[in-house]
Order: sequence, then structure tokens, then C-alpha cells
Amino acid sequence: MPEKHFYFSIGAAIGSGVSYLIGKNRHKLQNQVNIFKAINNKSRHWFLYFPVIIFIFGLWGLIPDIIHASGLLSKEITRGAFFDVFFFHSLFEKLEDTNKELDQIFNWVGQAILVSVSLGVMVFYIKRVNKIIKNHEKNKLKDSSHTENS
Amino acid sequence: MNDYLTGAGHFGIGFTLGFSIMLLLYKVKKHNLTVQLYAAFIPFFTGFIASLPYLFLGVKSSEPWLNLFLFYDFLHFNEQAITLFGRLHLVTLLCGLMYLYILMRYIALVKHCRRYGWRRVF
Repeated sequence: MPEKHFYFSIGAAIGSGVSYLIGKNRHKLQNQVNIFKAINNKSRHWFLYFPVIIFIFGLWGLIPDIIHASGLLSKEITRGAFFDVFFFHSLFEKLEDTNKELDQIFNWVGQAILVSVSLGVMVFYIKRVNKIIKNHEKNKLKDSSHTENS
Repeated sequence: MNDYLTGAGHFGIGFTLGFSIMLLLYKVKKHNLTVQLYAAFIPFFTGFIASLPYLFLGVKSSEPWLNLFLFYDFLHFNEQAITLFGRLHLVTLLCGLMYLYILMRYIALVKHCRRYGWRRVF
């Protein structure tokens, strides 16, 4: 079967997409939607914690494996049609059963997604820091030229 | 548990080593913005180097020159390394916690820069 990280990585990829959309519309959201208003009131830096969304989506993909590992349901049941809700868990398991090579490909794809997402999140923070520093320096220059003129 | 160290185990060892180097750099080069921003890539780099031969060789390992990849050949059948890094869920947990630390540090850096800009004390 595909390793657990494959299902986690699908969730992480979807979570990244959701985070991107939230990030793009965050000003609108924090002014109009009550939950985001409340979160913004608590901390104006709330969007910096967006990796939590990625993690939650990733965990969603692991639910069938967690249920199976904890002994609540058998593997046959967690491969039922209902469990396609968890990022097509049953479908991927069946695909892998029919073609063993797909298992390796799924694992590689999962690894590639995880590396891209984890490095991508770091690049986001680096870009953010560089932008903030640039803005600070611009403001400093403006302030100093303003005081010289006056 | 296998009688050899899997790719994840090699990655875990490399990542841990890189993480230690990163922490050391954070302490020593406290005032260097480049270090504060980019040192977090070191664990990924060392983890990649450490697990690179596994991608091509898998279980087989008997070439001394493979030790160039963070002592790959030495660690591959080393009992202590297998005990510590042989369990996938433990390696995942360990690397996850280290990555969490990296993210928390980035968040703190962004907050600091928003408030004060880049000052020499972080």
C-alpha cells in the first residue's frame, strides 16, 4: 500500500491551496467573516500560523490509517467506498493492488510534495521578512528626507 | 524493525545533524540576517545528502566511499543507529518537531521585524 506520507502529502497540498486562497483574501475575510474577525482581534499576526491549516488537512488523509492502526475497524472496512472521503484512500489502495509499480510512484510523488510544501512554507516567511525590512528602510529614508526638508 | 537503516533513518540522522549545525549558527551568528533567514535549509541539505545513496542502492551497501555521504556505509548496518533511527514513526515525529521549531522561529522573526525592522538584537 502507499505509505502514510502519501495521504498526508495530498492533504498538505490541498491545505497549501486553501492557505493561499485565505492569504489572498485575508483582508476581506477579517472584515466580513465573524470567525476571521474574532481571530484577527486576538492576534493581528494570525495568518503567519497558516501551516496549522496544512497540518489539519494532512491529518484528514491519515484518518483511515489511524482508525485501522488503533484497531477500531478492520482494513477491509477502511478500504470501503465511504473512505474515499479521505482523499480517495480506497481508490489509491485499489489502484496499488492492481499495479505494484504505482506504489513506488505514489511514494515518490508523496515525498516530492512534502519537500515542496515544507520548503515552500519557509520561502514564504523569508520573502515576508525581506519585504518588511525593505518597507522599514523605505520609511526610514522618507522620514530622514522629511526632517531634512523641514 | 529492519536489520539495516532505511532511507528515512539516514535522512533523520542527516536532518538532526543539520539541525544542530543550524542551532549553533543561530547562536554564533546572532546578528547576521542571512544566517537567520537561510540556516534553516541546512537540515534539509544534510538530510538529502545522507539519504542520497539509498535512492540508488536501496538495502545494498558495502562500498567504503559511500561514507562520503555522511558515513552512509558505517551507519547502514550500525546497531545503535538502527535502534535510534530505525522506527519510521519516531523519525517522523523527531523531524516534525524540529521543523516545528524552525517555523516557530520564522514566525518570531517576522513578528520582530514587523515591530522593529531588522535590528541587531533578535
